Amino acid sequence: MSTLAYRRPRGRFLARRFRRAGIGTYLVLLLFAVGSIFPLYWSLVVASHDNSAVAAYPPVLTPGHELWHNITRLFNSGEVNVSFWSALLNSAIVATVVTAAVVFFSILAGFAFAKLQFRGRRALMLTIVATMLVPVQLGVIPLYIEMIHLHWVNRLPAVIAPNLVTAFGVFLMRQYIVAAVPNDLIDASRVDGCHTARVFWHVVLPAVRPAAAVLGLLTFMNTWNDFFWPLIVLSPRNPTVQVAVSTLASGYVQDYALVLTGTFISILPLLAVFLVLGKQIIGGIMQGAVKG
Amino acid sequence: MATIQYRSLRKVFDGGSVAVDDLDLEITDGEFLVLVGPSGSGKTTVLRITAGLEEATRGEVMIGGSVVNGVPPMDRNIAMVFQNYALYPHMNVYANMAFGLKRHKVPKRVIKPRVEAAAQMLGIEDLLERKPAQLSGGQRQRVAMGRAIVREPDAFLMDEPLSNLDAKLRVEMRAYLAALHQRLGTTTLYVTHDQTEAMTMGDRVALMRDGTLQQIDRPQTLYDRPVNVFVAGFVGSPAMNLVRSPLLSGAGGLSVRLGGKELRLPETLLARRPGLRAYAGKTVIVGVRPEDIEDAAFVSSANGSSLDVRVSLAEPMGAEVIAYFPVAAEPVAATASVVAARGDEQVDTAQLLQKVRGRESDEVIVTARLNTRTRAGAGQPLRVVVDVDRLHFFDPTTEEAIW
Repeated sequence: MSTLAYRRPRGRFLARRFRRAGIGTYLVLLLFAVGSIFPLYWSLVVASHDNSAVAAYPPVLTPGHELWHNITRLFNSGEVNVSFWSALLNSAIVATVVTAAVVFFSILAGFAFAKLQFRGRRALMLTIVATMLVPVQLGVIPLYIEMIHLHWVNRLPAVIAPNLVTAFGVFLMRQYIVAAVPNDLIDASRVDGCHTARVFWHVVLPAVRPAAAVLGLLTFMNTWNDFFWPLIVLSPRNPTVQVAVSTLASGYVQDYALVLTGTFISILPLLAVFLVLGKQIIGGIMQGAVKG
Repeated sequence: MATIQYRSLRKVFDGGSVAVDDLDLEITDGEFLVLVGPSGSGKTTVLRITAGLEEATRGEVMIGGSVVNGVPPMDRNIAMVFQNYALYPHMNVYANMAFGLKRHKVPKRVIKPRVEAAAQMLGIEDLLERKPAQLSGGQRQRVAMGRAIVREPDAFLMDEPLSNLDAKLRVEMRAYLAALHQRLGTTTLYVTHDQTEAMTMGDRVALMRDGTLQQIDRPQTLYDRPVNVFVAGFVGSPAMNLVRSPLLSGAGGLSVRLGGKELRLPETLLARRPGLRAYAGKTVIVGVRPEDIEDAAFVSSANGSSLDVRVSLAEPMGAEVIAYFPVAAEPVAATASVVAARGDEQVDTAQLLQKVRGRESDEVIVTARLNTRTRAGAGQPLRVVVDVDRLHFFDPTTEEAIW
C-alpha cells in the first residue's frame, strides 16, 4: 500500500512534466517555422518562373516549371555576366580553408589561454577580446592597402588570409576548454608521458569536438555569406558566390528570376554543411548530457 | 621501486604564499607514507612537486637516489592517482589503462597482458570495453588505480583518491588499497585530509600544517606521543579534550585542576614526563583522550581521579557510548582552529555543544568514550573516572608537548 501511495504522486508529477503541448503552442511554433521558411520557399517560387512572377499581383505562391531553365541560364556564361561555377568553387575553397583554419587555430589558442601558464596571459586574452569591439569596417582601408602590397587583390588569399583566426573563435574555445577539460586530466596525461603537443592532440582535441563543430558551422556560414570584404577585394571576374549574386542583380535590366535562382543555389551548400555538422553538435550535446 | 627524499624543499606561489616550507623527509623503499593535514597545509603541493607538475622554489626532490628537479613528469617513472580519477572520457577502460604504456613506447605484446593482469587484480576485467561515463564511482576509482599499476612505476602518488567515494565504498577501498600495497610493495605517497585514512593506511604518517611538517611517525606513535597541540587535536576520533590548568604543587606531589577537583599526577607519569616538574606552579595545557575517561561503574579503583558531571548528550554507537558533558575548566583557544582543520566531515559535536550553550569561559565540553553498558543519558548525573596516567601536557606558549 505504502509503495502505491508513494508511486501515485510521482506518476502524476511525470505526467505533468511530459504533458503534450497544447494547440496554442503548436500554432505559435508553426507561425515561426512558416515565417522562417517562407523567404527560402519564395526564392524557389520566383526561381521557377520567368522574370514577370516577381511583380505579379496577386503574388505567385506555387512553384512553376522554369527552374531548370533558369539554372541552365545561370551557369551559362554567355547569358550572364559572371561565372557562377567558379564563384561556387571559390566560395567553397574560401569557406573550407577559413573554417578549418579558424577551428584549428582557435582550439590551439584557446588551449593555451585556458590551460598553459605564460607571462602576459591575461593581458593578451583581454587584448584579443577587445579586438571584438572594433568594427570590421574600420580596418577595411588599411587591410586593402596591405592586400595591394601583397599583390593579393582579385585573388582568393585576399579573402582567406584576414580571416584565418577570429577573436570570437579563440574566446569561445578558451571558455569551453576551461570548463570541459579538467586540469587533472592534463596533469594525468603529463604523468602518462605527454608533452604539451601530445596533451593537445590526445586530451584537448577529443574533448572539444562539440564546440569545434559549433564554431565550424558558424564560421562556414559567416564566410560563405560574407559579402562586404569580398566585394571590395575581389573582381566580378573572380568572385565568391555572394559577389556573383550581387553582380547578377546589377545592370540596367534586373532579371529577378535569375538573381533568386542564384540565391537559392547559393543556399544549398550551407544546408548540406548544416546537416552534416548539426548531427555532430546534437551528438555532442547529448554526450554531455548523459555523462554523470 | 625507490626511495623518495626531500631536502629543504620550499615552494612559494606567485602570490607570495608559502605552500611548503623547508621540508626534509625520506620515504623508504616500499613504504606507504600518508601525508595528512588540513586543506592549505601544502600536502598536495608536495605531491605535485614529486610528480613534476609543480616546480620547487628551492630544495631538492630525489627519487631512487637521483635529483629529479627539472625532470619532466613523464621521465620520473611515477604513476599518479587523482582525486577525481582523471580518466580520459573518450577512451574506453582498456585504452585508459594502456595509454601511459603506449606513450612510453612499451610494445603492444607487453601492454595487453599487463592491462589484463591489472584488470583481473582489480576485478574490472569485464569493464575493459566501457567508457568512463558508463562506470560507477567505485569502478572509475579502480580504473584509475589500474592505470597506475600497469605502469609498474617506482612510486605511486595518490592525491585523496578515496574522497569522492561514499562512506561505505571508502572503507572498502581503504582496505583494498592497503592489501594492494602489501602485494605490490611499491613505494607510495598518499595524500589525504582524513585522519582516519591516515591512521589506518600508513606505515608512517606525516602531519603537515601551513606548509611545515609537524610530526612524522608510525600512526600509533602520533596518537600516543603527539609533539604539539595541533597534532594532539588532529589525530584521533573523537578529538582529544584540551583544557588549560595550573600545575599545582602540594604535599602529595603535582596535580592538575579539572571540574573543580584536583587530580593528582601519579609518579609513573612524572617519571615518563620529567619535564613537567619545571612547570610546577605554572599553567599548562592538559589533554585527555575521550577513551581515557570512563564511567566510574566500570572502573575498579578510581584513585581519587573521579569527577561528578551532568551529561549533555549521549550517543550510543553500539560498541561504545560517546558522552558529552560540561566540566569546569579553562578552554584552550587553539582547540577550535584545530578541530576546524580536521576537515568538514568531522564536525566536532563538543564544539557545537559549546556553541549551543553560549560562551561560558569557565566551562569546557568534554567528550568521553564510555563502556557500551553505561547508564549515561542526556541530562543525567554521572560519575566518570579520568585515567590520569595517560594525560597529555603541552606548553601553553609554544604549544609543544612537555616530556
